[in-house]
Amino acid sequence: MKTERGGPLHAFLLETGGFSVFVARFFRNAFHRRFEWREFVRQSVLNGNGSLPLVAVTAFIMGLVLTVQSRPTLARFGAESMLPAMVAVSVVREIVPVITALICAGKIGSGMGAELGSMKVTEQIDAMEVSGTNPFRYLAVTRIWSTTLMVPLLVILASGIAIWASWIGVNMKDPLSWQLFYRQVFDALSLGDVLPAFIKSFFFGFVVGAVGCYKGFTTAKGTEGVGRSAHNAVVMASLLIFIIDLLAVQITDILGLN
Amino acid sequence: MGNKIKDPVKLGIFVLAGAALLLVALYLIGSKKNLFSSTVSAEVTFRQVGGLRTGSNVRYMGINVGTVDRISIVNDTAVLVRMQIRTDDARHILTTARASLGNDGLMGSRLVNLEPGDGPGTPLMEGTVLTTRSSLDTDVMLNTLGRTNQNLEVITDQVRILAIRLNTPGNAVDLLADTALAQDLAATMAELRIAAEHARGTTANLHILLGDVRAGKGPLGLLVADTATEARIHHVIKNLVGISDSVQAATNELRRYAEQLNAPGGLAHALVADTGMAGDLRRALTRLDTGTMLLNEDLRALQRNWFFRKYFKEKEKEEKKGK
Repeated sequence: MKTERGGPLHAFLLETGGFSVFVARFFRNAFHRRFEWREFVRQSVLNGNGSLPLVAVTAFIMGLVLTVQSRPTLARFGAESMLPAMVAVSVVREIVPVITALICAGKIGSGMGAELGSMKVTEQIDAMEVSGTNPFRYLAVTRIWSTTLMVPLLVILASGIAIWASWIGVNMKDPLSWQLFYRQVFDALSLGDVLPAFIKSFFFGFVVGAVGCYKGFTTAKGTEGVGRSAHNAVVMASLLIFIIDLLAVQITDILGLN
Repeated sequence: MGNKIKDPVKLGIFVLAGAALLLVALYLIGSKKNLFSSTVSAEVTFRQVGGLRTGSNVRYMGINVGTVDRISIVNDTAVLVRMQIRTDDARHILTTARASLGNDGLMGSRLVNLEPGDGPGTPLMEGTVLTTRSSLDTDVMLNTLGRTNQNLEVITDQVRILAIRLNTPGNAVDLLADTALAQDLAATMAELRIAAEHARGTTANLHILLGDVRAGKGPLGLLVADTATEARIHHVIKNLVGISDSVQAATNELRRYAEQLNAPGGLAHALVADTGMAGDLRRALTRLDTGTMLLNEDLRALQRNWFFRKYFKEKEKEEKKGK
């Protein structure tokens, strides 16, 4: 394997090291007394409220499609009555958290990479530092906290919307009351389904924010670098989301929650 | 300034909506697991639990009343299952209740079913040990199915051998393949069907006839049903018996007369069997014929006699007049 300067392994190690340093720097500044609340609220509205329509539409479609697609297979085994339970567990445990995180990686992560990258190449970040403002604390910490807290909220709302869409999907073939549907859903769900999904969505949000900010802060080579930062932010965040999902599955399995 | 106010409000609504949904979900899931209600624990020991897990439902008369709290192996033939049953529901479950393992539907997860037992009992208390009841077990069903499969294999082999034998030429199957035989059978069946229809018609007619006879209609009915006729018939039969006796007597007389006629020396015997008498008769007839011829010549001579000539001429004239 190539380890000389400029090789892929060298670039990978450099990227890993740089990101680790960036994350460590975040934790050093994350709990500082002088927290930029106003910027945090602004970013939260932008990332949370702003992403809700896209996430809601996607979740609705996912719930509906999963229900309609799963019905023939379950009908083949005479287990159509298990459709609400199956869709609910699939949606809550895996599909909605991952899909929501990927949408946020595409929308928020790339936006952060591009925005912070532009500020970097136009030396606005340097200017902030010169003016006495800590750019990392103002730009990165608020954004990372914002995505860390907003993505789980988006996941919760998207799960609810997907389950509601599943009820519509079930009713497209056979009428089923909402009361019976949600009772079947919550009979099937357990804390072992909800809590791991909820907890891992914090990590997804953290990754989206951290990668977006890291790529923005490390942008180089002018406007061309801005586009590359936005692109790389999406790719790297998506990859890390899947890796975290894999780790979460293993941990919940070890803890006996599967 | 507007954005400064709007942003926190928007964010607050967004956060509250998400948090409320999470809390409702956690409450609904938690209440199902009895996290927010007081419970009573009860224990039951099974030989094996067949996939029962901690958190599985406990049902009493088909209603979810609790969950399985702990499963532990006591020894190589006993598994202890501890259940948490809601206090409100435990008031209705008596200590005589019996537990069995079941499934939530055909493909559902394992659960514990509680059913009311026999005899008096007290409501469940903390640590009550319940008795078990054997239930329909899928493992037992599969074992039975396995034995059935083995039997089916043997039967299938025998059927296969039978099929091979039947397909061998010269067997009864050839008869089934013979189209001429089939046509003959079809024709025979058609004939039988016609005969059956005739028989049915005849039977119907007989039925009607018997009905008429029973009703006293027609001569036969009159005979069967009319008592006066019956008496007359009895009388006729009685007379017939008398006539029969008379006829018998007359017959006896005739037989005796015939025997006398046929006896040697009788007239019939002489006519039939006596050859001498036949010769006498033949000779007598010959002589009679000769005599007749001579008599004719005498009569013609007599017509020419002058004494009878006038008589014969008058007779001849009358005959001519008559023509």
